[in-house]
Amino acid sequence: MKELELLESLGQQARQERVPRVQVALQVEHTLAVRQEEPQIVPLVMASVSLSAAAAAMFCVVSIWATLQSPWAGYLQSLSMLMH
Amino acid sequence: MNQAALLPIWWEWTFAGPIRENRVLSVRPSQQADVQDQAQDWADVQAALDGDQQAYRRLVERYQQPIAELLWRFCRQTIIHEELVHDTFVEAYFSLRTYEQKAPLLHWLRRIATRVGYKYWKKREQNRQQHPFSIGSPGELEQVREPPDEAAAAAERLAGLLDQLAPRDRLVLTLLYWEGCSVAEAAGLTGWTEALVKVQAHRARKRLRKLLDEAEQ
Repeated sequence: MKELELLESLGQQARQERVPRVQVALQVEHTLAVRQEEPQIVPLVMASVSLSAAAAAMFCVVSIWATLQSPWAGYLQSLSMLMH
Repeated sequence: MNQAALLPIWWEWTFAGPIRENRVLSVRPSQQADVQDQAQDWADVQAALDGDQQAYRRLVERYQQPIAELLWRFCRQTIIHEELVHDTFVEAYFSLRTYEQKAPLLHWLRRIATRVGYKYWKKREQNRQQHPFSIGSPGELEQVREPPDEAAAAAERLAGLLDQLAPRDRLVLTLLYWEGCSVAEAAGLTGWTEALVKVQAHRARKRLRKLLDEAEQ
């Protein structure tokens, strides 16, 4: 159990050590100010993804509608009936 | 160790820790904040959430030294040590909404600091594996510095000893023997269960004993 004794004795002594004083309040304030000024990437990405999805859905609907309205609609209909 | 054995440990560290994040811990007498302080902390937290920068500054000034004391166990280089303290308070600010006043603010900050310190060790370990022959790694620099007194000498020796262990082993031994935490407190800081802390400590001591035996031969 030498490692246990060593850990306990060194730990006890080491706890008496004086820790250097730190002053980070200003740095923290500065970092937070910089971070808050940065554009928020996640909402931007989310917005562009939803816009793209909406545009793709719109394109599909318009394409289907245009196909049904075109002179080819009748031809396509008879082709599908032939296939059945 | 096979993957099945690693799974509960991975689960503990990744998920179970954050889930238990807000449980109440036993308070050490030296860190016991009185009710008035806690009320002041809570008022400052609320003000900081409402965008009052001065309120957060007050919190940083109140707790920077206790957090620095804990993080001194993780890094003994003043510049990096200060960075770790800084990172702890930045991380705390962005998680401030999750603080629920179930435990004193200092306990919550100490948990974040432990996570920041552990991340630092893991990153350093990765760097060591990638560049094993690099000159002036933090571990080497820590051992070169002249210890000013007996306590600092003991701390240097302890840091050098624990530095030879993997971050996980180092974490549990640092908290139990250097920071002087109980098993319950170490469990609270790491987010592990008490059983896991005991098992991890046992394994870490075994590995340390092996290292000491090898050094003697």
